[in-house]
Formats: sequence, structure tokens, C-alpha cells
Amino acid sequence: MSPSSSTPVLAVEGLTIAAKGGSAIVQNLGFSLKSGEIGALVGESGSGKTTVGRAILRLLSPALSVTAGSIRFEGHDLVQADAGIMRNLRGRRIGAVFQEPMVSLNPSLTVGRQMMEALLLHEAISRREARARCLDMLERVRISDPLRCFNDYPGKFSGGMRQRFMLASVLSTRPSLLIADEPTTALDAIIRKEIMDQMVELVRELGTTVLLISHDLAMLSQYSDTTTVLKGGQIVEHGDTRDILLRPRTAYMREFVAALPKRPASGFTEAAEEELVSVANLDVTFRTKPTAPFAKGGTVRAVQDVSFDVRRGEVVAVVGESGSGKTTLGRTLAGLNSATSGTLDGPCFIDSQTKAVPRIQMVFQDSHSSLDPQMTLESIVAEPLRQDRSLTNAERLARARGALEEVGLPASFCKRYVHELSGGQRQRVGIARAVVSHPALVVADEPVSALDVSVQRQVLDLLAQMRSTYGLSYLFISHDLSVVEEIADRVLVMYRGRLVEAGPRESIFERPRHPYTRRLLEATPRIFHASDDTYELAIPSTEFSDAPDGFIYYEPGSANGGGLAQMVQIDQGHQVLCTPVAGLN
Amino acid sequence: MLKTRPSGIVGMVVLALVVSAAIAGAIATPFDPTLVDFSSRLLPPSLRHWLGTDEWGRDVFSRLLSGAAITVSVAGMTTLLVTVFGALLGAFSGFVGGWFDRVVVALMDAFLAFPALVLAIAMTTVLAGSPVAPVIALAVAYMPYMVRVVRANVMTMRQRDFIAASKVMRNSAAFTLVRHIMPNTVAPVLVMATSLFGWALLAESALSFLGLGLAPPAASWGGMLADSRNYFADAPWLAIAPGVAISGALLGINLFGDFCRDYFDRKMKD
Repeated sequence: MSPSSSTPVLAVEGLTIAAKGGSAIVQNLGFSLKSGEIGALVGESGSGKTTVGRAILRLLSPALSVTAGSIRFEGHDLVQADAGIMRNLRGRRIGAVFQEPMVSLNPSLTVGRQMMEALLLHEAISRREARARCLDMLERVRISDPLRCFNDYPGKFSGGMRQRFMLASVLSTRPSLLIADEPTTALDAIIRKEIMDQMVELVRELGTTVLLISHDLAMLSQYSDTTTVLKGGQIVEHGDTRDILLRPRTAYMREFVAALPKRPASGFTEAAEEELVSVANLDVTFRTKPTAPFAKGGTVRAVQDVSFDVRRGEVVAVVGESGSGKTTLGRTLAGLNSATSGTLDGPCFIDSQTKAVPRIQMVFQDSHSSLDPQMTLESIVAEPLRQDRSLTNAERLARARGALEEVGLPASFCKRYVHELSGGQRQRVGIARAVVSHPALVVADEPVSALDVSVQRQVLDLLAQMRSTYGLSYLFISHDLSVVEEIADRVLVMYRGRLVEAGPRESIFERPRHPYTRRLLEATPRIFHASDDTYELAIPSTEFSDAPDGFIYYEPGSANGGGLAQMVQIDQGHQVLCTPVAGLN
Repeated sequence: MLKTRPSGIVGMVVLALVVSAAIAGAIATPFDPTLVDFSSRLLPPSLRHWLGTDEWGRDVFSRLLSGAAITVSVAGMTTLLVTVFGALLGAFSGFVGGWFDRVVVALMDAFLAFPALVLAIAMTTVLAGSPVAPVIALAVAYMPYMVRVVRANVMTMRQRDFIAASKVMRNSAAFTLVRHIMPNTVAPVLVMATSLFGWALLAESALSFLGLGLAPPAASWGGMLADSRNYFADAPWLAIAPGVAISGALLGINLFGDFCRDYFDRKMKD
């Protein structure tokens, strides 16, 4: 099918959704999707995009209700339709995939049983046919051993696999509309790309119309045909995706796109020669709990043989997927884990062994969890100064107030508590706490990952400003390559606990060598500023180049040559994990 | 918030009544609660004896007040002991973990295996005669509940990043415990303490009912209820007065406890 049929599959008109007795969450919203079209709904958190998706499914929380407008789907008005019709439509004609697949999957039933449930309920087919259809769907979402997955429980699989099950399950009834609400937001870049590719291929084949709800502009511009931009429950812009995102016309969209991480001008600031931290052959091993009574617990090597250094004033980014060991690496530097073997050296560590003011501070991803809810903001920020005996309490609080002001929180905030702040404000407090004692190094663990694009922009700018004011170095841990490209001087790529590639930002982004780095870059589309008000979507394609003479690239996890794998210098400061050909059997 | 929860007000009023009765009972009562007067045995309620007299001619109202003093102080002291020691032990055990935690948990589980009242009865028998016997017996019996609640709270809190942040700042474990963990466990401890007070009050009455409380002639609500059994047909006020006192006080405490829990829950969510 092609997206050419004239009557829309889904037509939303004048939709207004309000809280009971309160303000409108969505106001006078209208858009339509043609058959086979992939339409996107974009906006920041609180823009009402998820609420619209829920309203189409008639799964609004009881506190919300549709007060005006209509949602037309295949001759039904979903606002007026009675519960019986809705039950019949949901699952059969309208499918839904949400961000967290584990919430939608029942952990105590096998994958197959849950997949068959919808089919048997909605279609007059035998169990045998249903089973065959499900296995076929599993194969089509490229699950290598469908039969085994069919008979197993969802808890055994990774997030990516579960999302594949959901997709297979939802599409097995061949719905004409699929609502995908942030379907890949919780997944790593490489898996995200795989799943999006499969989803789009499948829906094009089945002719399914898709409403894709997401905040990820680069991802949307790659997959969706049309885009509707929401802000505060109202439509800001609607039209062709590429037009809206790459040639934004409204002020809001311009700001929105401009807030995306930027590719910096080439040539990077020369860091001082002074070595702040020098890590050599670091291993961090955790003991795991035994899985059965009387069994012995195993060990997990979260970080394996990692060496690098950080110079004064430099931003070193650590990238990798979840479970790559990047967070463990950062926490070890900050003193939250101890090294199993290897050495940590440098002025930062020498100072912190004496009880002086700590030279390493940390900014956490979850700003809510990282600030004590029972303390005022000024006492939170003053805490790192506690061990500076040369200061009186009043002086500590005064410096804390100074730091709060510097991160953009005026004096009126000093006596407030964490629960009174927004996410962006909380992260500012976290940054103020990290810099107030003038540390040499700040370990920032995904500091902007939980924030909306515009807030992320402010926090990134703040981090850059703090860096130039205090000459800070950052160990910037992130899974988001576009943020890393903006902020980092040097990049470390981690995969399965090992460092696979390390080098200056330009080398890593322009001339990646290791297969994993290349996969990671190719899975991360980014939007770049092309000229004054146009942007360009870059889906990097990288070229294979041979490993240095006598070596082949080593992929962590492969059986062969792990013991001999080493970082080999290939360019000025650019190293890649290889194993000598001579050592292979 | 009080406006939306009238039952909270009721609870507070009842609790205030019980506490003022206890204070009055400790200071002065209309009659000497232990004064025997055979000329006025089993009198029904009147203007002179508001709640009548018992089989020894003692004024029931005076005995109710003086009983309140004993019951409330036993329940109060039990709650105080359990709260202070239970919270400290639970917080420390949950924070340090390791073998110490395992020993504490095993010990508390062993105590929990006995019904609290049975444990208290056994302990009162051992400590027989001592005026603090019921307090110690009840404190030991209820300690595991407080330890468990606090320990569980501390263990979830230990996972929060602000505890990690405290470690990054090179704060000592003791400082982290006192500055960050303790203040954040105040809410669950207070909620637990209110229900403990109710349990202890009921248990004290039960112990005295069984004759394991303070020795007669001292008045206690449970003891009064027990003594009234033989005269129920002729003098029902003997049973009604302590009965209403016990159930009314419990209801008030529970309403207040619910209010506390909702209040802290909402504060946490904000």
C-alpha cells in the first residue's frame, strides 16, 4: 500500500482534554493521518503528547476527560464509542507499544501465550494457526530462535528483545493504526536503530498507519513522514517532518532545534600538559549473589584493564551502552567503588587521602535522588566545604549562596527544599554542589540525560561556563553521542567493560576505527546546523580501515585473543583495542 | 490538611482527653482511688460519684483517672524505649549491613516468632513484682517491629544518590548516618510510634486484665474491667467505664496515626 488513499485513517478534530474541574491539558487539537502514513507527535514533557495517544486508545487516567472534539477512526468516533466497540478496536484495529515493554508484558506468562491471547480473542482462528502466525511474526522482527522465545518468559530477555516481542505481538493482528509512545527511548542507540528499522519495514509492508510519539528529533526526522509539534497542549506546527525540523519557521521550533547539541567548530582547545588523573590497568570486579541456595556467587568484571589519563582543564567523555562499565568507571574515580586491581594516580587522589577538601566531585543523572530532601538548598551546597577547617559556618553558607547564584538560582532559593524545584533547577543545585569547593575534576554521570532539550541546552551551557570559570576537568559519562560531540575534548569508547577506542573528539567522530565505535556512530543520527536557519540530518557512514600491521580489531566478548588484547596507537593520541594476529590459534 | 480530614481532629481531641485524664490522675482525683468505704458499695452513677462506686466502695471516676495515669505512662514509656532503641538499632543495622545486620535480623525474627502478648506475659512472670516489669516486657516484645520498619527504610535510602554524594564528599559513615539517613527516617518512625502507643496501651490493659499488671489496689483499666465481671448484672457501670475508656482511647490513637501517615505520605510526594 502507498500513503495515497484520500480518506484519513485517523482524524482528530478540535480535541480538548481537561483535568476534572481544572485546566485544559490539550486544547483544540486537530490532525489527521492518511493510510500508511507515519506521523509523529513531538513536544517536551508536559506538552500533552502522551495524553493524546492515550485519548485515542481511550485509556486516559480517570482524572482526565475529553471535553470537546472528536477522534475519527474507521467510521467510529472514539470519543463517543461505547466500551464494547472500544474493546473490539483496541488490540485488533488499533495497536499500542509503550516505552517500557516490561510493564505491558506479564512476567508470569510465556511470551507465546501472551502473543496468542490477542489473536485468539480477536480472530476466529484455531490455536494451531495462531501459533503459526505468532512464530512467523517473531521471525519477521528478526528473532533468531523464535520457538525458544515463544516458550520462554519475558523476564529472561533484554529490553530490546522485549520491545521486539511487543511489536510482533501488536502487529500480529494486523491493526490499521499503531500508536508507538516513545517505543525506543529506554534502549541503547544500536538496538534503537535496529528496532526502529524493523518497525518501519514491517508497518510499510502491512500498510499500518503509525502515530509515533517521541521527543527525539533526530530519530523522528529519519522515520516519520509528517510531524505535529505540541507545546502546552496546543499545536505549534504541523507538516512534512523534514520541513519542520530542518527548516523550522516558527519561533518555537527554531528555538527547539537550536537547543539541540551543536557540532563545535573544528580544532579543539589545547589542554594543559599537567596530568590530573592517571588510570592504569584498572579492573573493577563485583561479586554477584548466588542464584540458587548453596551455590557460590559469581563475579562480574564491570571494568577490565582500562588505562587513560585526564589533563587539567580537559573534558574526557566516556561513551558506551548500558552495561558497558562507563558508570562504574566514573564511580571508581569518585571513590564510590574500589579498584580490584590497577592504579589510580594523580594530584586528585593524593589530596583526597588527607582529609582536605575533596578534589573530585560528582554530578548524578537523577538529580532528585542525589539531593537530600530534608535539607535546604544552601546547606546541601555548603556540605562539600564542611572539611575545610579554615572557614566558619557562616562563610560556608555564604559561599554556597554564591555558588547557587552562579548557577542561576537567586537568593530566594537558598532556604527552599528539593521538592520545590523543577528537574533543571535540581540539576543546577547538583552542579553548584559539585563546583563550590573548587575541585579539580568533576565526574558527571549522564547529567543531562533526564532533561528536555531546552533544559538540557541550559545545563550544557552551565557546565561549559563552570569549566571556563574554574578551569575544571570533566569526566563526562554519556550514552548520547550528540552531547558528547559538543562538549568533549577526548572520547573514550567502552564496550562490555573494556576500552575499545580512545582519542581526540575529531578522530573518533571523523575517523572511527573499531567496529563497535563505527556501529555506535552509524546508529546515532544527529541534526546539524547547516546555515542560518536550516539544519541537516547527518546519518554518519563510516569506512572500514584495516587494523595496524600485525593486529586485528578485538571485539570484547569474542572468545579468541581476549588475553592478548591491547590498546594500539594508530594516530596522535588515538588508540584502538586490537589483538596480535600472531597470538590467535 | 486537617480541614480535609475531620477524623484527624477527632483523633487529636481524644488523645488530648486521654493525656489530660492521665495527668489529672497523677496529680489529684475527686476521691482517693484506693479509699475503701463499705457504706457506699456498688452505688450507681450520681452527682457525688459520677461513674458510681465499686464493690469496695471506691469511686470509679477517680480510679479511671488514676488508671489512665498508669496505663498512659506504661504505654508511653514503652513507646519511648522502643522508638529510641529500635530506631537506633534499625538504622545502624540497615546502614552497616554485613554480619551485624544478619545477627540483628535473626534475633528480631526469633522474637517475632512469638505473639507479642505471650512474650510479654512470659517476661512479666520473670520480672514479677518490679513496677517497670510491664514496660520492659512490652518494649522487648514490640522492639522487632520498629527495627524492621526503620531498617527497611534505611536500606532503600542507602541506594539513593545523595548517600553516594555524601561518600564522594568524603563524609564519614557516622556523619552520613546522622546527617542524611536519620532525618529522612523521622516520618516512618513517628507513624510507627503512634501505632505502637496504641498497641502498648491495649497490651497493658490486657496484662492487667490477666492480673499481670501493677499489683492491686493500684487502679488500672484492664484490672477494673477484670474486677467488674462478678458484678456485671448489678453494676454494669463498673464494666462500661473502663471498657469505653480503652476502646475510645484506641480509636483516637488509631485515627491520629492514620492522619500522621497520610500527612507524611503527602509531604513525601510533594
